[in-house]
Amino acid sequence: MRKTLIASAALVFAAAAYLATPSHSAGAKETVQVDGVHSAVIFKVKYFKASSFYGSFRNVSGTIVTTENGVGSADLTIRADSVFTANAGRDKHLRSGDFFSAKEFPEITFKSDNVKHLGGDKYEAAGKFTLHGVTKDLTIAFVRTGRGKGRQGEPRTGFEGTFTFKRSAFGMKYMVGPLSDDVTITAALAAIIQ
Amino acid sequence: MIPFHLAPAPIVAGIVLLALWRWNRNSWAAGLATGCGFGAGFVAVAGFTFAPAAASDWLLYIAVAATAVGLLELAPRWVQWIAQALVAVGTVWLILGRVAEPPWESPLSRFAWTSGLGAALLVWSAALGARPEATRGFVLPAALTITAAGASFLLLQDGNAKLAELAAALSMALGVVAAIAWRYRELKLAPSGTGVAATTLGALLLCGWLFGDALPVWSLLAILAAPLPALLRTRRWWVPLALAALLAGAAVLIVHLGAEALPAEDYGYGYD
Repeated sequence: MRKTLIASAALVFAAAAYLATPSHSAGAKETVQVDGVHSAVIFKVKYFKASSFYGSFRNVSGTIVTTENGVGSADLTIRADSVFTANAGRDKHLRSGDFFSAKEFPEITFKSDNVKHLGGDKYEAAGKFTLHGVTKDLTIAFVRTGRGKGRQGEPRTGFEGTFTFKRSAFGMKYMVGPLSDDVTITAALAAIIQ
Repeated sequence: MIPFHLAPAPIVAGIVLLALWRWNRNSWAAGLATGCGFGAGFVAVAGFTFAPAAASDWLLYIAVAATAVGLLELAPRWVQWIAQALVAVGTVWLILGRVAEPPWESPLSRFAWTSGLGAALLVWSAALGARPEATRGFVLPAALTITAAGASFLLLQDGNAKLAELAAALSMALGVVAAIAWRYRELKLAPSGTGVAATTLGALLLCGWLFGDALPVWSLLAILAAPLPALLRTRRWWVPLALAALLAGAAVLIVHLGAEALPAEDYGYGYD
């Protein structure tokens, strides 16, 4: 009888500990800090309607809060002057008033108080996307790409999402035609679970 | 879509010719034509934006305000001065206000920047329009055409293609005024047209300086000095224009040499 009680208690504690971990507790809230060094934010435009051109931003930061059942939040910031296309002249042109006007609008942001878990690895964030000083509503579908532990043993996770918008809607009208109005952004975020 | 470099030409020619021969208005004809020509060029280059989001969106409204001031021909001189001062300081205030991470830290420091640059713009504009009777004819508009063209090259070198195209549109508008003035020697650009040209060009260069990568101050000073030889008293019309071209060329050269002197950041292939 005593052995049965001890075994039952151990089982209950083990189950509680298992459920208390962020990845397994039902309705658990998880806050993650974006690891900018290991994240990638890339953009794609069409060049002369013929080919796809890719560039990236090298400075991304922010926080994402997810819940298994409830509503989470996201607050992400990209430095506009971190635009990188592997060509110094083109990067300078992209930072200028022709495109991002980085000295006027130094940050590209996405803020959401409505991050929903759709089940499995799927999430959806509805919020405000600010680019070039213009803010518009945007809904981004994204997935959790995995979980793991870093070199220091810190718990890590990742998210990836893709969305498309018209840059002219954000006042970036220069060279629409040679460079497409549609811009597709893919954010592959590495994050440390807090 | 009308090519931006052609958009100002028929508008400027139409307004100047109508104003001169139909309405017999020499005093504001060139100013109205320059302002409308630049406005047409702006819409062809950048489209029409309301409400303005970026600093460059304000350039159209700044040109409209400067053109309106040029039309105040019947107002007392002091009213014209106050209006010019308001447009100059307002232009600087609007553009400086768009800098997200400004070098000025206190409101007093920002006031000093605004009033200092506003006063400089007002003095430059007033100097160009100071002798309207002596500067009749094509030399002053031609010198300003060269200056605006130089500013266009300057801004292009600095990586601001849109601002460069806008300066080219202003150069085209002034060039048409100069061409008409070659034939009609009584045409006056000053003070209405010099006010529009100086305010618009000043705003373009200020945008380039604040939002571009590195427009050297010496280059800006050279380009601002370029139209001033047109105020010289000389019978040889080509001397002021040669000096204007020399100063504008020096301004472009300084930017080019400055860019060449920067550490190589390239990744092995060109960009155009």
